[in-house]
Amino acid sequence: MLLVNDISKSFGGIQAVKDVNLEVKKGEIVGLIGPNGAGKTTLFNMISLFLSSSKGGVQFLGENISRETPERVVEKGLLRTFQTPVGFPKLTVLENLMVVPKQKGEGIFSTFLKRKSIVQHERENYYKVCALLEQFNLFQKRNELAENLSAAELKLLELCRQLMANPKIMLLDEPASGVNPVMLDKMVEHILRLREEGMTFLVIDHNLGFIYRICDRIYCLANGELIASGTPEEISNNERVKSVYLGVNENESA
Amino acid sequence: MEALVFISGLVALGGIYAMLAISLNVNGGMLGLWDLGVVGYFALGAYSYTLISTDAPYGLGLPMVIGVIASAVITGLLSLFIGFTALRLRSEYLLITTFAFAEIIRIVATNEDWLTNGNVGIFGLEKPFQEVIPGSIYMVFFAGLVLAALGGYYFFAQRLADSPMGRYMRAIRENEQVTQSIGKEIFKTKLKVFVLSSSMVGVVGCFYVWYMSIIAPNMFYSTVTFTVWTALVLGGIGNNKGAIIGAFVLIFVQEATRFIPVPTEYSTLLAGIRQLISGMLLILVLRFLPQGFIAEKFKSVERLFNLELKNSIVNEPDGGRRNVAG
Ligand SMILES: Nc1ncnc2c1ncn2[C@@H]1O[C@H](COP(=O)(O)OP(=O)(O)OP(=O)(O)O)[C@@H](O)[C@H]1O
Ligand SMILES: [Mg+2]
Repeated sequence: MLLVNDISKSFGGIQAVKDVNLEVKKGEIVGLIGPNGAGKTTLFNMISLFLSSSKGGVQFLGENISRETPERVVEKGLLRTFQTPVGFPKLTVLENLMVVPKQKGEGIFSTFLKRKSIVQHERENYYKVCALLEQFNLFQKRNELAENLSAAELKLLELCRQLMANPKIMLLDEPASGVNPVMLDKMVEHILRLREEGMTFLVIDHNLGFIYRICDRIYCLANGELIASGTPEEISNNERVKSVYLGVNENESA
Repeated sequence: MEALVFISGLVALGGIYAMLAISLNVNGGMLGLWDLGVVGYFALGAYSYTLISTDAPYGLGLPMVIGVIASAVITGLLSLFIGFTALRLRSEYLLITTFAFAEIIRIVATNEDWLTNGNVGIFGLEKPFQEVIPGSIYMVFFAGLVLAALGGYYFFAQRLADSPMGRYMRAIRENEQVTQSIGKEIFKTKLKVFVLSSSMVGVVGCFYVWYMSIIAPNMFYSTVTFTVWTALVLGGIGNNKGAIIGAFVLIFVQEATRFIPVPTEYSTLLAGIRQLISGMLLILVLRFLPQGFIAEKFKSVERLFNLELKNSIVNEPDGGRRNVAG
């Protein structure tokens, strides 16, 4: 479904991502782990075309998407979330989601000329959003401003928002960070349920327990290079992965 | 009578600034663009109107209505060009570009004598319905005209704010990246709104020309832009009612300084004091009411569009959508 070929990116002198290859098949949940600064987010930015790659390309559903715009890629069904899930702080939860579909009212002239069909469209949009919020236990908060939500709720809202765009594959950047254990279980449930319904995922996270629980396969990145890939079991026993993570821990405590 | 005319003049000027503040709120408040070109569109609208509707030698002598339309169209076209070059860049560049543009407009108006009569300006400009309304109470009528136009501006901007378009604009203001990540083409939208807002300011230029009955480059210094921004911040960025209140309060306070009894040789000092008072007002408001007089309102979409859900969580028998409890 998603195929990344020999992709590289350097910022000035820093090589953030170096000749990375990876593949995600339909219906899979694939993990992407690696210490801070490994280049994981940069890789996401390139796949979703927020950043141009210095070298290499991305194929999605058999098409080369390297020359597309970010909007076109979303239209094709590739959605990504952000590491800091701020969303739209001064919009309510409802508005955060209702803004997603392409709508009749999104024009200056249509605002004044097509009032009737806008109201109709808003109603349908609203029902769709409410059903989604109900699934994610956010319905009670629908009229809260997003800035008043907890970190975990924001992560869920982020997931909901991208779901509103009808994705075929979702790239999640640290969906578990800042999420307490109870909410983490919920997050796992949601992701697994969505996969049952046919969704495909590529997930970045530092919480290895979480990654091992949900992923079929895992890639490990360090200093921009792919150093290992395999099943959760293979990865958890991989010496290079262990050493990279231990190395980081040593640095952090130093 | 004299007092009424005086107050009408004040209301008219306040109303003109209120229209400017509402126009600025469309792109500066709702969309979050850092636009410092207000006085540029204002001047361009005013000059376009004058040069089209005034009689020769300066103007083409066309009907007033055509002049008003031209002020919107010409300002719109030029801002389309500015927006096209500057809106793709970071917001700091928009700030610099729009500011520079406004300065260029004023400098052109100063130097192109053949077109604008330079620094001297063009005098004795006609006002709408001047032939019918007696001169002694014309200002009262004009204040009414300004208030009516202000009502129109308010209605228009509020409709926009309450619509899906308004929601989309605020989303762009809150987070461009996230807006892009859900598949929106933000550049086009920013350009459209930028042009709309500038044209709105351009049309207010006609009112200013009518109010002053003269046009000259010294009416269009960058202080106008800062006054409008100050009015918007005072009133509450993002709130159209706030924009109106902020503009009236600021203009009233500034004009009140005219009553400070000072000898004429200190009158330039007084002009400085006016700026000082605006500045102090701004600091006080930001200190005690950081959101302005009226903070941006968050209306629930449910109320705006009369949306309601059935009171039970059921799967409808036709396999339709799931309704949820409110
Ligand atoms: N826009 C940028 N300009 C310059 N350097 C950048 C930029 N974005 C990322 N980098 C650098 O690229 C490297 C990889 O960063 P990236 O954010 O991809 O890491 P990450 O794996 O997502 O880390 P984390 O786990 O902390 O989120 C880092 O050294 C970072 O400093
Ligand atoms: Mg990251």
